[in-house]
Amino acid sequence: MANQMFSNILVVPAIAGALCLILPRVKWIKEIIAFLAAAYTFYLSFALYPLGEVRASFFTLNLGGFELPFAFRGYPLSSLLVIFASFFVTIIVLYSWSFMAGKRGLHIYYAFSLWTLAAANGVLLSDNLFFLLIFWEILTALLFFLIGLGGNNKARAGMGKAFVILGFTDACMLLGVVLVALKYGNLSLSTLKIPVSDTTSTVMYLLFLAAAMAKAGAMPLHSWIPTAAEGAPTPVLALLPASLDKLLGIYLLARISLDIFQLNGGLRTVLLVIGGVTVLAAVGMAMVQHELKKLLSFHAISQVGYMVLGIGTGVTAGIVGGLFHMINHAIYKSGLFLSAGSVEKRAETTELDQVGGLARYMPFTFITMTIFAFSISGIPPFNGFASKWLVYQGLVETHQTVWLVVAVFGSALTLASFIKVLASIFTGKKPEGLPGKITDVPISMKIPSLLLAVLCIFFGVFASYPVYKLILPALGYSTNISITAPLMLGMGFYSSTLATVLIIVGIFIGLLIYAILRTGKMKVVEPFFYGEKFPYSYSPLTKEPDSVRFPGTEYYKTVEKLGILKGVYRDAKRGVFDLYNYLGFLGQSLFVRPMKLMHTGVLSTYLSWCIIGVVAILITVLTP
Amino acid sequence: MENLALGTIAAPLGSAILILIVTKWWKRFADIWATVVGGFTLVASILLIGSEPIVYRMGGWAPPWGICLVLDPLSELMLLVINLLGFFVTVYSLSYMEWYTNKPKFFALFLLMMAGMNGVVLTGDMFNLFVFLEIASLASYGLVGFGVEAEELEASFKYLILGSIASTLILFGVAIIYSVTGSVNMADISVFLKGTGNNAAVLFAAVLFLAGFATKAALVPFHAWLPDAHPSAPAPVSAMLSGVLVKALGVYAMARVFYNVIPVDPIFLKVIMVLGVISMLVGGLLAIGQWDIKRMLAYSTISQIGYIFLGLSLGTALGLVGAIFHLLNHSTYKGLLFLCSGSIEKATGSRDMREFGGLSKRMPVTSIATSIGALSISGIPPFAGFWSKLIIIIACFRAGEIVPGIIAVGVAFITISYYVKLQKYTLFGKLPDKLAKVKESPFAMSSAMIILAVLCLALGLGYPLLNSSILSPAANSLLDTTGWGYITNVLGF
Amino acid sequence: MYILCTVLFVIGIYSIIAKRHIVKKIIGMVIIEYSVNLFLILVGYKAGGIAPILAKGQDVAEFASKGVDPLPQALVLTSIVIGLGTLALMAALAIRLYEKYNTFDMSEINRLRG
Repeated sequence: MANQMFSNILVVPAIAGALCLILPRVKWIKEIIAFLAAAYTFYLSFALYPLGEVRASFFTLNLGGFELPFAFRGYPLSSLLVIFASFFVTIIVLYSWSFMAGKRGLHIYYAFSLWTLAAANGVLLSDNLFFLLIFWEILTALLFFLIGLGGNNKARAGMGKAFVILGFTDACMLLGVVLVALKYGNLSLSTLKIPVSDTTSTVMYLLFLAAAMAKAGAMPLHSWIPTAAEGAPTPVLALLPASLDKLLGIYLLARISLDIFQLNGGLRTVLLVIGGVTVLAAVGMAMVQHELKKLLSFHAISQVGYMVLGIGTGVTAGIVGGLFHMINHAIYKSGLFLSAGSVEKRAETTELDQVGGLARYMPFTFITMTIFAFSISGIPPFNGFASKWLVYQGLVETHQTVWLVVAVFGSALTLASFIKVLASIFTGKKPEGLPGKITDVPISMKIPSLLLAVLCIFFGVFASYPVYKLILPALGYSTNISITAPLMLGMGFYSSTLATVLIIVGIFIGLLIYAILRTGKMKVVEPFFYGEKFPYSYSPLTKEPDSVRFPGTEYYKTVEKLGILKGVYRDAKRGVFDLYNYLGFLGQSLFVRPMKLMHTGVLSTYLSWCIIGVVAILITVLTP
Repeated sequence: MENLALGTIAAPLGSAILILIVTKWWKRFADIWATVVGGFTLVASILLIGSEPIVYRMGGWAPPWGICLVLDPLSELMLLVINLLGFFVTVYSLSYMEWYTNKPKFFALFLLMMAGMNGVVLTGDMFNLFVFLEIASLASYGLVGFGVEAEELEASFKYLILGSIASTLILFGVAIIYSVTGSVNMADISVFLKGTGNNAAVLFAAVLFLAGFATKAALVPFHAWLPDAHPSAPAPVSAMLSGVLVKALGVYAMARVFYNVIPVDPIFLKVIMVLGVISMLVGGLLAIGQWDIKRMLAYSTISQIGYIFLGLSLGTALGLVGAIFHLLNHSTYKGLLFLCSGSIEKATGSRDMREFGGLSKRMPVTSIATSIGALSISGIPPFAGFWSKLIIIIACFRAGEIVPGIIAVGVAFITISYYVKLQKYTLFGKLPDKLAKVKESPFAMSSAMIILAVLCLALGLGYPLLNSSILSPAANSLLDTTGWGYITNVLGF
Repeated sequence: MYILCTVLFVIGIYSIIAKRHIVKKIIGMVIIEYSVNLFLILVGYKAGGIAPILAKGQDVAEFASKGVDPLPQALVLTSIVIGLGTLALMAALAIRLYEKYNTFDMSEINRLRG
């Protein structure tokens, strides 16, 4: 029974993926197969969740003296995440029907998406670190090809960077798995307990941590996400860096930090520092981006910081908040990427200074994207607020005031940068460069966004439901609280439902006041532009009011020119903080180039190496 | 069975001459006959898998006096590796070598090389080892310079000089061993040396063997010929050189001599380990800096051979299984990658990765094969390379060699980086305008690549089966120190 | 005689490394080969030995004690043949190299590098 269920969840998408690859290139066949397979997996995963703790073992691999059972375990958190993973794949496949239509390599795209689902389910359900590692590496390889489907030279840069960074951390994890296996002789996620006390166990933990951080995209292993965002097809971004990779990365982080390793204070601090720095630095970078997908990708990094902070606190409120934020983030960030895709599909560009005034033409996209943007910025009553709130609670409870301030400040900056996004895409006047006739996207692209938006609101307004009914049970607490109950974790108190009512009332009163005072006098002031003097060239004083545009690039330019930040931003743009560039350069100039120079092509040089080699060996061997 | 084993040497050797004669009258004969002989040796080596150890006495003289061929599990595996790749490379060459003028001569040299390699892995005699090694090497010098362009000749000459010095060192070693033991039969030598222990002369001979075989296997610092010779040869020959020649002449001979002939000495294992680790690192780092696709593959060979020697040097059953498995895998995927590079070179007329891009759009089969080969060698599961590297890494830690183990993991990452570079610059990105009309390679070439690509996956998934049927027996035949299995087989007591 | 052998070997190595002329390198190579051949012969040599051919009417015991070891001689013959093959190939390559590079200086023939 359980065996059957586990194998179905993995095998169905895997076989459907293979079918997509090998079936003849008949129109629609692969789209339909992909959608059905993903939807069926989604359906199957619902059957898995209520079972609670189930196990199944298939066979045992003997590798180098280790008995490695190919075992699965329906740990509640795993089953929950399987549901979400299948859900995201399903809606993104649906979205891709129209978005990807007419692009090259579609059979590869659908096949690899399904295989990604299969491998992700493998990671989530596997009960053995070794097989988790295998699925993990398969995911890395699939991501590589999915990014490459972008087909341009930017995608090429992105795919390379992604594979190198993730490959590096995969190698770290491999080392970690081997070390754990040798020391403890046990790789089962459910029974392995390692107290972090000495250097060895700290190193083991850090090796696993690196893998989780790179997958989720926390600093300093984040830099593949923005580069990939420039070139990869948008649904791929929504699928992997935005949703699945977050689920998996934070899942692994949660498992290693909460279950396997018993962390000490020092490592918690490491997590907090990673989280805090990620929140602030990534959002700072996001502020000054003017390409929509790249901007979103920096937010995808920044939000990881909250999850890491939450888990780093080590108290219930924080952990629940971190996991809740992971799910919420996957929802709204894939929504944002899908919206970006809609804009890209219609406007044929995602440069913020080339679009504008689209609200009139794409009202649906405007509304859903606004919902997602408010969610990510942590505006109540949307879901982002609820989970951030819990993370703050965790930080308050553990007296991490510094990181609390950082987190709140980061949230404010997020809001600021999304106002820039919304304003430059949807408000103002449509610029000349855009296609003449812009309509909203087709229905198959609307449904995914709609579902995600509904989830955003539902998880926000009834925040107690996911927290008490999904996440706490998944962590092993049993609860019995109605879904309108307030969130009582930590020291604070937040009733999302009450808050919603209050907000609606507030808005209503506001409208009322506006209506009443409308007749009053108005004062003319110098136009301001989100806290800055209006750029002269666009000033309404010199031009017709209709031609006023708010170009995205003008936002927050002062931030970029501010004192020390100026230098930091300049360096960041040059990639100085990018570990990949930095180490790549260092490796090239320290090792590769000198060694290349040594190979002069002169035969005598090569011969003398041989002679030196022989003499060296002789001396080693013959000296007793 | 005995004749089958002999046939794997005799058939290609005889055919090499036959081809040269018959093609004077019949042009297509070379193609047909080479394929037939390739097929025959492949079938023979598959049939020989799993058979009991065989000792074939040439002319009926019993060892140690007569010349003998010995077929034990390790030789069976090596025969399979050689002839498997040999057959597919022959098929591939049928259309690839249309590019060059003299196909019959190519096949003659090619078969000569095959005969030499089969001889090396079958012989039970130090001097014949040297003779077969020279046959294979001489044929390969010729094949490297087959295109007679400036670079090819230069590479061939450098390879020739370094290779001949290595051969001379090996001969020198044989002479010293003979002067000490009075025999050139491997088993006989082993018995003698087990009785007396290693004296200074034997150690000196061992160093000579080590240096000689290390040059043939291209271990740093004896590697300098390889990055010149392998890229300069025609692609099928590169595949053969990187895929099996360095292994038959270097790895196999080294393993045989240092495990079965000369009593296992920890200091030599240590030296081999150091050489292996240095090769892994240096080869990998240099591969990152290459833009010539075949040169990158050549440096990658050095790096991967380093892995094999690392596994070999551990002296544990696990390490040997890892090394032998890696040897088998490396021959398939490196062969595959060189064939792919040949297919790309033929289609685009260039080997410089900077001129490529987006070839996956025009050459789907080659691209898929390249990707599979690259993933396999970078150690991405479920492909074969992952398993063998993992076993070597585990074996390192099990044997308590922490630092080499960590370096092996690091080099796995370096491998990923340069194969990412290879894939992204050749297969992905924007297709340059001047490559807009490139065509996929013909059927003979594609089919060889597809089969090898499938093998990369099959070897990975079939590891448990392979381990019990081929790998462990092969490792045990090297490591059988208590039962003196090798000696008993050969000398019959 | 063993000293001569060593001297020859060292001379060969010297000439192959230090001499830039391609033909001198080839000669060095040949000298090395012959030093090893000489060594092989010496291994089987006995002072005052006779040829290892059992003539009619010869005493077997005397032959066994005085006759030199025949095996190294067989080996040397083989290795000389192989050396011949190598030498022919080297000479052929040298001629072709001169045609392409117009020089006999091996250190200028270094297009393959890095």
